[in-house]
Amino acid sequence: MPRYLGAKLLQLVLTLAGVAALIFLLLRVLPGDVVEAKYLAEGGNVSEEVLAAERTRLGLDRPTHEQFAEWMGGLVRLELGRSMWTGRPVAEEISSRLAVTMEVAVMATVIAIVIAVPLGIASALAHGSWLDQAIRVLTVAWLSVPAFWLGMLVLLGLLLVFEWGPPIEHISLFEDPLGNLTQLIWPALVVGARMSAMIARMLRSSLLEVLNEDYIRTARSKGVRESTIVARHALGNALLPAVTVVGMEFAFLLGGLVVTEQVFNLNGIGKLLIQAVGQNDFTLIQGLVMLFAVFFVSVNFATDLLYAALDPRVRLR
Amino acid sequence: MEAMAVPFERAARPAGRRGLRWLKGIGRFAREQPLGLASALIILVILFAGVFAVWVAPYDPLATDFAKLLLPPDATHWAGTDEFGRDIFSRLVYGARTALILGICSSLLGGIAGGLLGVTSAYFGGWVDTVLQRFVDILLSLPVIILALIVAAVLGRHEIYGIDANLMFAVAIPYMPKAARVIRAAALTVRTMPYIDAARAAGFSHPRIVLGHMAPNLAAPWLVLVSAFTAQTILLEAALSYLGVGVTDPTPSWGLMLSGVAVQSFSQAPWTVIFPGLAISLTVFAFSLLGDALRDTLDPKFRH
Amino acid sequence: MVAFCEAMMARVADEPSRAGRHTPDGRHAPFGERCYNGPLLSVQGLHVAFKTARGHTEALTDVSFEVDRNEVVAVVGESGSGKSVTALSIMGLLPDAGHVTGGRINFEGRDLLTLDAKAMREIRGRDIAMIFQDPMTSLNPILTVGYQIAESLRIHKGMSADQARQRAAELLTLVGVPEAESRLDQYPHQFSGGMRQRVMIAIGLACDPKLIIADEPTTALDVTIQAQILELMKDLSVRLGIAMVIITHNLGVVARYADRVVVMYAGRVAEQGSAEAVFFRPRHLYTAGLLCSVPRLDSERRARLEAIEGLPPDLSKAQEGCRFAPRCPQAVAACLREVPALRPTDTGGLSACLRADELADGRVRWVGNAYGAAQPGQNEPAAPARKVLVRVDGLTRHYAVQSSWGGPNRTVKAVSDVSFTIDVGETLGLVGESGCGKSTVGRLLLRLEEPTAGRIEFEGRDVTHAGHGELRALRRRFQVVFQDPYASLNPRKSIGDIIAEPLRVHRITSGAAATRERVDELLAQVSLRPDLHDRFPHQISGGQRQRVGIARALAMEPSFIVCDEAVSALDVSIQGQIVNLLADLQEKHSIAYLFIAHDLAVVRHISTRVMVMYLGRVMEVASRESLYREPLHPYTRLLLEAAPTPDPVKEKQREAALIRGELPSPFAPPSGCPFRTRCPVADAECSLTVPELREVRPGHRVACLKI
Repeated sequence: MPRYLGAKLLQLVLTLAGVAALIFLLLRVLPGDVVEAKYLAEGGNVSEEVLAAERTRLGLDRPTHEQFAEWMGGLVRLELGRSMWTGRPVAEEISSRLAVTMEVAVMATVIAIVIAVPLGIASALAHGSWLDQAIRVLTVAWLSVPAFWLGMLVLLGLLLVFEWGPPIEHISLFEDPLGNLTQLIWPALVVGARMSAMIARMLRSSLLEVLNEDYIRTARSKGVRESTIVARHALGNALLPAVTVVGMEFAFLLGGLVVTEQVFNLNGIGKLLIQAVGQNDFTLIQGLVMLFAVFFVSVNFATDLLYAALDPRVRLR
Repeated sequence: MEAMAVPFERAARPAGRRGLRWLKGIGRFAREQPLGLASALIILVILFAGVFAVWVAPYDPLATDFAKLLLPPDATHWAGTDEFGRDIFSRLVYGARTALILGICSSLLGGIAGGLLGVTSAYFGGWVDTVLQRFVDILLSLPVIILALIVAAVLGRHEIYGIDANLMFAVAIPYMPKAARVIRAAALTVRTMPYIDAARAAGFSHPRIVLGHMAPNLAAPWLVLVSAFTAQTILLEAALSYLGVGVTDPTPSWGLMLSGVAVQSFSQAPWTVIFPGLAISLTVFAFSLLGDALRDTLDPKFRH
Repeated sequence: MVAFCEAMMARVADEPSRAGRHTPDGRHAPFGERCYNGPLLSVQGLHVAFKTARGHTEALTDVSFEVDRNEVVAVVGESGSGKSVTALSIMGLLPDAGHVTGGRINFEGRDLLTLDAKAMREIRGRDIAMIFQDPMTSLNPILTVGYQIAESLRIHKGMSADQARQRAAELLTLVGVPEAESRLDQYPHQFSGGMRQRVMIAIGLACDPKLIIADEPTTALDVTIQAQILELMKDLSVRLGIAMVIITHNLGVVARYADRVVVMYAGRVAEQGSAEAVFFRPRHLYTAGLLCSVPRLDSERRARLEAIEGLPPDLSKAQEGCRFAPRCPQAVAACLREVPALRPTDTGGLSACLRADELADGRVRWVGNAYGAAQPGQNEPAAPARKVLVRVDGLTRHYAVQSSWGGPNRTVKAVSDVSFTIDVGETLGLVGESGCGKSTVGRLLLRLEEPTAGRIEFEGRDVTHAGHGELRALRRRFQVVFQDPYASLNPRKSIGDIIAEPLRVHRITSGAAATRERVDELLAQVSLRPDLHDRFPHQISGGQRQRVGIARALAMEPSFIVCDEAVSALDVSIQGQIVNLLADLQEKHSIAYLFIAHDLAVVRHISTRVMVMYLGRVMEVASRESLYREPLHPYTRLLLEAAPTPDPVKEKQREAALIRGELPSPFAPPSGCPFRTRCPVADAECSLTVPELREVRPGHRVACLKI
């Protein structure tokens, strides 16, 4: 096991290094830089000298390989540098927004699991019936609705029915739990509902597959009740692949909330990224992308470990 | 007499049989998958609207009319007008063109590139596989929308025949590694089949084995994949346009029609929001259902 | 009362001859009056239909048979004969697409088909247990073995968790699993295939059932393990007084273990009777043909195998007359017209053959295609003009297996230091259990895999590391026929394309017309009609597919073909056809074969010389006569003894010769002689050195220190 963990961790570090290199190179291809965005976007009339001085200050005039070395070197020391726009440390910019996004992501995942598991099981057990067909079509339909449009409709509904609009300011979970909940429950519902459709579909097909296995027939030949067969013999096997899917979806949620944050006007890291892209703020974009990648690979790693712990075939070799 | 008739008959038979096989396949699909058939019909209607937009749309999608701002739907403007007085229905019809071209082209692009990557990776194995898979790992560790967003921002715009080719790439790139993963897994299974060993034992060249023997057996999962991708790329394009890094004004795009509208204003004119959203949802729904139906027909694992 | 019945059952089990008890008039009640009087299980006029994409398939038509207490009944038939469907119908476990359309299944006088789900559940596992074919997939991977055994005890006997656990441990010990107590908490993947089947048997025995139905219980296992499992089942059924229904296609298994036999063909019962009667005095022409087409180890080898020509009928179409009539050499007009009923025969059995009486008095007998009696000399190694075609020296293949979850990388020694030669036009048979490396040897010869060490010579040239161009030319000279006729043909290509492609690629024929002509010629050589040209593999039968595979190999006009389990997946009657075809082609084109198989009888039939492998090493090589008449290596001897032959009298007298223990893991083969851990004559010396292959008699080489 330790040997495996070591190999896996090395692979993770390699992947992350690849992401770091990729994002750096992508951004240097980008036409323009933060200086242009800051001084020339509004049709500002700033002299070349000022621009050049600004570039020197931010280190943008140095050769690309030097900038690259600095970026990668910083990563090794776990330093992300300073935002080119605000001048504040990237880590600080990110951490002040991370809480909102994480909260929505966790809430959405919980909602998704709560909806998906009964739905998926019901659909598989009623295989071929009208209920199964209805759930199948509804989940596909649900997945076809754009998240931002759904968000807009929810806001519209809230406005028309309750005459309630989302507050502009973020309400902290620790200061006003109820206010925080009413603010974040709606985006979490929109995202969670979508995720639940994905998980329910996955669970349905894996449960159907398991129910066709030979060992289910063995259980029937022992005279085991159908309900016990599903609960003890089938569900455990069917949930294993679902663990991977939930992990994967959750891992993507951190970055995947970009659109939802925009709709609900939440000041999370997705919104921060949109802002940074608009401002050509290289250091901030790089930092955010690294955050998404680190989150993704570590959640996946954790999922792998969880899978190993749940599946005796992997656990006991 | 008979000797003359036989070669003729032989020459004619294969083509006829194969054509028949396809027709039969489509017939079976229609019978077994009524939902799939319905979705195929919806796609055909949308495709028709997009291709013949000039004739289908009652108005010029770009023509503004400040006398007719934010009119609710009525007999003349079936879906109402927007804040510049443009006919929303006409913009929806032209938007279908944008959505379908971008969606289908991006998913084909991502599907083909990823498919080739996956087959190569699986067939050669060894260090080729390792290198390609590490590359795929890197791309896969970023959420689809983040990758597309950054690529779109980096590439800027490059229009060919009114379609933003760079946007197409931006949408295709996140799907390439996904296709590579799925096709590689399928190809690894095909790779171990005795008929591939038989082809190798017969001394066939690598390209002949990969393209002639493996690829046709991967066509089914690939087709399923691409139809599912099309649904997702249409959604992605809409999201990017909504965020302002996708299609830009004045090109009619469903996502763009939803962009930048504040809640307060759309509560006054909900039709400006409802119809484009419905158009996206219906199109994506049709492609997803088609993908499901194709999977049920083509994948023996799902044929209970 | 129960005790009384058990005592009676035990006595009945000792009765030597029970033939004929099942006939309607001749039945006598074996038990006291207070017990239920009739047979334990009685299937009457059972009809089962399946809904398929192509419509309605009649899987079972009017199937009737009975099973008495304590009796072992074998249901034999080829694939598609309906034998497994019969078993599943009794258990009420037919898949969703199938349903019983008529008949009755009486168990102790109750019709199981009229029971509701709850009542049926109470019978399953408690009164009737089932053992399935594939032990690798029949146990739940995420539940402990202890839980899976204890489950039926808790359901049916109402035992507490502790009681059930204790009983589960007893059961595991009973079925021969060592250290049962500690293995209860293990999961199925920690057991070998044979051990898993023992666990399945323990599950079956848990509630002392009255009947066990075993559906091909040993088909997925190796010969040596198969013998262990069958002996165990036989022993337990006698000791515990359990009736058994064994469903199998293996006539040797039937002969060894069954009291009575039910022969099925195309969804109907063809014949039933006592094992002796069915094997020695078959009263159905299908049975007679089937018995003739099995290659057997216990009689003189014939020049050709008898084979039943043709294919079984397609059950999705309406059937008329006797279903075997189209393939029957003795069919008369009436056979095609009327459906023969099961009627009593002179041997005390029942037969559904119109010509049963004529078979009885010898007026009619099975006439196969084997062109008369054995013709000594034919198919023997051709004259002394021996010319070596393939020479293999010290061939070795090791795989490094990367472990994904922990543990260091391990090496599997698939093939170690294998040397042999194959002469022009001869057949070298290669036998061994799964994992012995026999298929790897074939793949190495074909250069589908690279050897770790060693040397391969072909026609005197070293081809071990032949480059791309040289290899391409060589590919025309050696070809391959694979085991699985489903997977060895590309499903997306038509039969014509499959055979024509090598012709085009290697420019063997020029022009479409010439290619087409050659393809038709090749199809004719393997006895296929030219109209198969535009069909696709899924549209033809398994036997036909294997013929296409042979035609594809022949297209290159090779001088050497590797047949990798080429007939193992085929039914007995089809297997004979293919073996004969291979022999004919060899004679005509003087092709050399490396014939890889696990069936010793088939190998004896086709090979001129035979090589036996175990755990990657050669144990023994000899001419066919020498090896089968006087096997020298203890492994070969045990292997030959473990294979049951289709002769109920011999089999029932024979002591079981069991190879003890399990096949060692290929990751950790024993030191010294690989077979020493299971060898009856091994001693300390055997663990020290790997025995060299040495010539004990002219042409007979053995790797054993004890010879």
